Amino acid sequence: MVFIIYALVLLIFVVLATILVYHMFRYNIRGNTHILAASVFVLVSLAIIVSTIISILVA
Amino acid sequence: MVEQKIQGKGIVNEVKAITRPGEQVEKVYRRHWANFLPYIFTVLAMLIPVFLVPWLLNVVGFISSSTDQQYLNMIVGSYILFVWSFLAMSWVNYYYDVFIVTNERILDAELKTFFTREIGELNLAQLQNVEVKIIGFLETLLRFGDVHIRTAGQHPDFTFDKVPNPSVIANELLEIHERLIGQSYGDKSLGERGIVERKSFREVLKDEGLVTQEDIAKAAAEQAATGKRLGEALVTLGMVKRRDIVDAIGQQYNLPTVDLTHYEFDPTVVGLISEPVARKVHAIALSYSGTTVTAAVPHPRQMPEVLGEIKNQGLEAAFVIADGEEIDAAINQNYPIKKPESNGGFKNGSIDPADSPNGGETTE
Repeated sequence: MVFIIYALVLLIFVVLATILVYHMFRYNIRGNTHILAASVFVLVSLAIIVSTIISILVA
Repeated sequence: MVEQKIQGKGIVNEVKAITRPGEQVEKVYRRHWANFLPYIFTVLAMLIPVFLVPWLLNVVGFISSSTDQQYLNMIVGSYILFVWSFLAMSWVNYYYDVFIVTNERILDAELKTFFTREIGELNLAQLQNVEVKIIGFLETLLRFGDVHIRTAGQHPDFTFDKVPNPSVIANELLEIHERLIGQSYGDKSLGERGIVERKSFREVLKDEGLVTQEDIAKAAAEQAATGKRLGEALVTLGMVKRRDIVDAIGQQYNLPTVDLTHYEFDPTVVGLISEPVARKVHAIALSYSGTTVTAAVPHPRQMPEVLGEIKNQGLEAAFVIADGEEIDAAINQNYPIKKPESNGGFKNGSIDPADSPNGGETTE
């Protein structure tokens, strides 16, 4: 049950994250800051998600 | 400032969509990083419950089974995920609010919400004066503040708020503006008319022996503190006379200079520049010959607006440099225009300030 609820939370998050990353690329002016920022955002998000899943599993 | 809402379009697309042929992005400024600090503090405050709530729940014995612990971990994990998203969104909101300066215009692109973007636009030719304001402890310590751009005519003013090194930005704006004036002089380039910036204002002053490098450094400090132009700062500090500044600008742009203190104005000629424009840009028409009107301005940056007014009447314009205070005194003396007693037409003077009492004195 807990995983089903967490899957729904992640679904909402994915929509939010997609909008965010879309904006990072869409409003880019010059340079590659948007690529770096989007990469950091996605990687840290994945790290949080993986940590949460592990913490649920070991609890 | 023209406000236009553009939804779902990137800055690059926005600039391209309204960019004229030959227009290029010169500078992109954004707010100082200190403006992002409140977001960081908010996020840190939001993270306190992540440690506090699980500890409290365990202390009161609310978590009694492994299922409770699983739900708690899920809630905490989700919360951290959304706090992280909030931080990323705040960064986008901060980083994508930009001030863009092209070689023709100043644009203020602001991300209001994810799908609402506002762009304020100002034509660089309308730039009249730039003021720098550094108010507050943090602003002084970290060197950021507002750059207030005053405009000519009926256009509202424009502000770059909380930008780093506002004095440097103000100077860059003025340089781009002066370059723009150098490139466009009505339908002919300044170069074609033989009016180009031969050397910088500072170089002229130094070459003439009017100031030393130390004087310029002191004036630059005064300039940064008050937002005055360099010439004004030098006069305020008593390092040069107003007349020297006029002569230096004349020499800088290879333009004749004129002393207006005893000049006799012809109301019919003066009326060729309307009172609002004359007062706004500090310009006054001196003489008229054939189809050319000679006007006095304190600096070439005032030329485009005067030229536009004169060209609207099907006439050409030539310019001389005069002291701004003398021009203002002449404007106060000659406006509103008194009707001539006899309809003798325009004064058939020379376009050169040879009509002037100082015989068209130049600094050459």
